Amino acid sequence: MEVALIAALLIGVLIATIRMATPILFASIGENLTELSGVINLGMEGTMAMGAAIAFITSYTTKNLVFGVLSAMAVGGLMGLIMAFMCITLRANQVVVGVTVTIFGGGLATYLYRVAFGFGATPHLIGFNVVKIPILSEIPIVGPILFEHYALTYLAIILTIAFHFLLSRTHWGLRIKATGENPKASDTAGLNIYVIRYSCVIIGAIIAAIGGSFLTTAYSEIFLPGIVAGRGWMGVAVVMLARWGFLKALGGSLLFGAAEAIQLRLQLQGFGIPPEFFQMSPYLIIILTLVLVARRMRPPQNLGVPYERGE
Amino acid sequence: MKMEALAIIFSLSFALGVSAFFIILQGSDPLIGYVGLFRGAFGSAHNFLETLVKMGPLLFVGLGAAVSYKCSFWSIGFEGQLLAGAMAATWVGITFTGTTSLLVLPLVIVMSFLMGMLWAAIPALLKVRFQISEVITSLMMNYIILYFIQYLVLGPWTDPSFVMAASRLIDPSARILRLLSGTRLHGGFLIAVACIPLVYILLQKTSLGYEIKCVGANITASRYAGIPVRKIMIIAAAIGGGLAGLAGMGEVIGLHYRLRADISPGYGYTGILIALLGRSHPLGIALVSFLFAGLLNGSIVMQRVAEIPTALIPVIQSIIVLSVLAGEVLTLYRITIRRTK
Repeated sequence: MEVALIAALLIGVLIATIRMATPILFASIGENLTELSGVINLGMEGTMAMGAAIAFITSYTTKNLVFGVLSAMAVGGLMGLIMAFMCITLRANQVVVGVTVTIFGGGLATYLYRVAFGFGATPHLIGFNVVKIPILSEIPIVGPILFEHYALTYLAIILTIAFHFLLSRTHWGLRIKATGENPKASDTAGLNIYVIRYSCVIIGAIIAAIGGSFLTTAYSEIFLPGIVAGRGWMGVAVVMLARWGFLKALGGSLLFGAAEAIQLRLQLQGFGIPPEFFQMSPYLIIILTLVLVARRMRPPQNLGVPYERGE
Repeated sequence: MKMEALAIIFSLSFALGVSAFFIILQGSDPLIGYVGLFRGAFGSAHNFLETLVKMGPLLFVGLGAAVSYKCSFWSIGFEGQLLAGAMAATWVGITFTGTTSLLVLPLVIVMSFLMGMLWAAIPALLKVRFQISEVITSLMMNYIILYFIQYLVLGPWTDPSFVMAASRLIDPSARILRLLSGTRLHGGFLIAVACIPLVYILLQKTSLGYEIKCVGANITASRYAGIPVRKIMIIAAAIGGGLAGLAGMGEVIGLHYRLRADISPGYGYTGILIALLGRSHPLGIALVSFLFAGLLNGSIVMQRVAEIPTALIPVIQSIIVLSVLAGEVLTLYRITIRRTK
């Protein structure tokens, strides 16, 4: 192969990496915020499915993609509210509720899609255009890789930096982390544990739902049942891998984005290896990387433990 | 038990009520839909037997999830373990040809159980060895086996003469008999039913069952009491996986006689809800899996008569679980809302 061809292929893979990483990154930001406050939300997969379906249906009917994303956020907030009510107010088992919310969201997303479009059709919408950042996108090689993406991709990166700053540099961040580490002490110090946890769970779910909307308004322009394909779960895994750091989670999301992007390219190339082995590789990589960082993981101390206010 | 049955009936009505709201919004008549749902599930001998056909795998997975959850091993990998069992059954069925069922069927059962066990033991090992959450790893294992089966049914095991991507037919000696001619109800259902007392005995009457429950209730106390916590957790996970593997086996040797990647319409996930609702009690699980199989089976008629998509069924099922969970907390502890100063 010629050098130019290889270079073009490589650039293509890198662009695809960032694109594929976007939904996983949204899920991981949302999950990270939620877990730092002390709640595990395993309903992310279902929340993203709802986000994907609602964004598609709204965008298609109103012909306005921004409405689509906004309605996905609203529905994501509702999904978060269910999760928060069950886990914080009723103190139910968070794993159980999360898995149930995922099944709920996956079913409801498909149901609503079928109600809107019937059983045979797979309608297409015209999705977001890529936003070229002026001047920066003119830089050779780096420009097209980094500065020709969907607006939502930029948003995910801005959110990553914003939440990194919020959690590590501000009082708000300290309060959230204190709630996850030691709710009793935080309560004694005058923080309202319930308000902080409710806010984090709901905001986290809203962010994950944006990730879902990315799948149907930017990445693929159609909705299919099962379109989230484990990306919500990958987001949860990324949070563990990144050891609850937002910047590291960006790295983790890019890793899985790369696994997916390379997998897609290799499928096209073939090399005589059956494509199914490439398709299963991102999931295998998640397990292997979790094993690698397992020793150094230190989750928030009260992660998954419901808080009950004593008198 | 009576209270629990009442809670499920109340939650079912609540879930049907919420869903009726969705159905009215979509412009259909919930009453027509629900009558269709009931007719499709239990309205005729044929429909009733079809409900039992779907109850088989749900019962297997529900029982497996119950064993796993009794040990507080929160696996969501039953779908993958089901597929692993289906794969093992197919392997036996296309490898050992021309002998007798007397030899092949026991081998099918053992291999499916073992393969399900193996697939569940991996996340369990990762949990006890590296403290990695079983929730994530078990789920990732679902995708891995799914793609592996896709490879098998398109590659080495493929049957090019079949319209869909599927494996070759398994040898007649590996097929389990149909219970009534002209219906699809097969011997796998009987094996599932036989597992109800077996799981009950395991959990209630054996020391292993006692240790599983101890580890599930309090892992630290169990460790101090001298229970080999890691071993027990792996065993509980593996038994759960083995039972889920039998669900996949039944679909291959009793129903399709070949392997397909879409052999399960999410039985592995529905079984999780069943174990949660049945309070991990074998009899409760039997009842709930009958109910859920009915919902699943009846939904086809519901979709036909009232244009209500079958995807509403997992919504109904998960609302039932959420409201039972909520009801449980509300009755166990009295929640008092007090204004803070």
